[in-house]
Amino acid sequence: MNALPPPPFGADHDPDSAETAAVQARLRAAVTNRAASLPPIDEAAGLAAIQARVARRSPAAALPTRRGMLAVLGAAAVLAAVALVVRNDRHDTVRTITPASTTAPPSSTTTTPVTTPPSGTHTPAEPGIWPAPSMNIRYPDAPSAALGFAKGFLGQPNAVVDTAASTAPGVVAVRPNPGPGPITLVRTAQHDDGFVVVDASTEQIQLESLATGDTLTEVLDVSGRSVAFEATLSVQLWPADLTAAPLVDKITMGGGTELMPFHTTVNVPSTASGPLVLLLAEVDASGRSTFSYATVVRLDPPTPIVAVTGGHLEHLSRDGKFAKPIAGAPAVASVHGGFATLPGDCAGTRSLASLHGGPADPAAVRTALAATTGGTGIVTVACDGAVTGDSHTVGSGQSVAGADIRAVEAGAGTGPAVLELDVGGKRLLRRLDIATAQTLDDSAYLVDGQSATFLDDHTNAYVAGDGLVYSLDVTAATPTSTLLFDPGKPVVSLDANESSLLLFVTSDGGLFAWAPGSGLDLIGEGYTSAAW
Amino acid sequence: MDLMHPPAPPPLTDLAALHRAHYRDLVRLASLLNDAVGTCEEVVQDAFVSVWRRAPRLRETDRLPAYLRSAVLNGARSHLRRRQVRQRPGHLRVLHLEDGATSVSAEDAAVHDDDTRAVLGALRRLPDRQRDVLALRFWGDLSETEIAATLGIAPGTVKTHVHRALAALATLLEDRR
Repeated sequence: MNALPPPPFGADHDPDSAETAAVQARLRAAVTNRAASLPPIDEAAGLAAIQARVARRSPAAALPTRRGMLAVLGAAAVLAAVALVVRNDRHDTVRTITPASTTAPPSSTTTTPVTTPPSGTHTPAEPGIWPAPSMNIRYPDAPSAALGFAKGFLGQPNAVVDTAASTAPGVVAVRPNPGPGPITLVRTAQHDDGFVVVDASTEQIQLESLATGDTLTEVLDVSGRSVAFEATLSVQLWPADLTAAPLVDKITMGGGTELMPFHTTVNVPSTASGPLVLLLAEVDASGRSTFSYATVVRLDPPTPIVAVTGGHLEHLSRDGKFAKPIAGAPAVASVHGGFATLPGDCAGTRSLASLHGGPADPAAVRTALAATTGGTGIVTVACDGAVTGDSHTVGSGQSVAGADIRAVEAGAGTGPAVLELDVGGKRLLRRLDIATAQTLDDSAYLVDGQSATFLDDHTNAYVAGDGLVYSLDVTAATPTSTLLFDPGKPVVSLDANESSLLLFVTSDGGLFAWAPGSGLDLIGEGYTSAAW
Repeated sequence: MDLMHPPAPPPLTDLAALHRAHYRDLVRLASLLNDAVGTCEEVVQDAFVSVWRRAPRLRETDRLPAYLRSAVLNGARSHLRRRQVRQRPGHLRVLHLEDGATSVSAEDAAVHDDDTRAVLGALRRLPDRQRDVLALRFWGDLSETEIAATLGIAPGTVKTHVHRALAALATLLEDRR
């Protein structure tokens, strides 16, 4: 069959309609162009596939639509499994340091610790919570650090070390008073300038939902099993400087005479920054100490993620509910409605349309390229938020002249940047030699659709007009786009770092991370405060 | 019919002949309605499998090409709606530019290519029947009788659909400007 050209239209139409004739001409041209643009068709492979399916007449493969549904269900199952694995992994991570004695008979007066300390591995480089940076105290050994912690933070002025009860190197058993009594196991680590306290635990307060090193969320779920005087457990959240005042101070109820479950939540103040310390303790009813025993863990801030929201540059937490403006950062106008970017990135100014940062290493020179809202300029932005100059403004002699620069993406160093241009409503991605401000014609990417955007410089990932995330194989003779991720909601932005960790923002504020080989990880969702 | 012992399908040699005669053209037909060539081939293969399994029951075997075309249109429509894209070759493609002053700039190529994309995009937004009649008309030099046979409608109805489809296409393309 001769597919082309199409025949002239029949006599039934209006021959005087110039408009209809023009449409027919355009349709013929489009059909011709489409046929010409098709890659070679492997007919032999097609026949083999058909013959194999015809021969395979199993009920499950009887109907293409049914098979398609099975494929979709299978894919959904895989995605669900990935999601479950991710969530279960997190769940397990939270619970991996449950004391080993959770199934042991409860005792509120034991004098011989049977538990192992939290996070049993001694890690010298692990950050300490005591002494606080402002204290100017150095401890020459683990016992002195543990005693300093007991006296200075737990309010046990008569604290003593029970050497026999210490269970592992670096773990010091501390009693509030000489003689029999409850024990708090204080875990220490050796730093270059002395010993520090990492965390503490007691058999009487078994925190199961959180552990040292866990990531802070806006609302902390605090649960486990405890036994304390009148079943009352003191719950406090402290800033990293334990000499200050607690940010949160409340009580919850557990067991009074035997280990019983406790559960409460702690709202983390939005003003909090840096690592925080969670303390669960029994108040000393005798009055000789502040606390009789305690479990103390350090909770780390989430990896900072920066996003442009409703005109503001903000830090996002990983739970989707904890966005706050970056102090001192001026408002940013984003023509794209928002983007996610990785740690170490820079602030921008109101005149910028796009901003992508440099390396996350604070010690490195951190600058970012940004497109100006004027559409023809690319500027270098320093990390302090100041625009340092039009050092890479595209000149009038370049092929991008007249095109509206919508965004610019650059990796570390002086490698080519990616320009996203708007040519008569058509998006075009070009590479720019930063050193010469010349576009590179051998690497121009024509975007299919009107809104494809954010080709990432490290991964060649981009968001297509359908809101899905694809990767482009630029090494193939015929570049091929492969679907990376379909979150079910349109992706409005993505960014990646040198290690190819991709961050996605969906239209409803979902924030995802994706890394090759490690699957999809939902970081947070429901950033409702952001007008993406 | 003996449901326990359905008639065997025709020999595979005939399938190969049918494939050889129509496969490439049907992929081109599907490509008018879908971007991804992989998807188009999948649609056509689905059509072959579906039609071939029904072949023993098709008394008018000379109508197999029409059945194939119909199946391709239906399959392409389903893909268009489901948007179950897994791989999209050429979705984002390099513009192959020649060296020298006479080469077409990337920007010019973008604008030129844009019209093809706009026309096909508008075609895909037409109502099903209008889209199908135009695709068949401009793809394969089919007569109104052949189009009618493919779609299972009267030849006179084909005329009406074509007329309305062209008018609708003109409107869509005009709105886009």
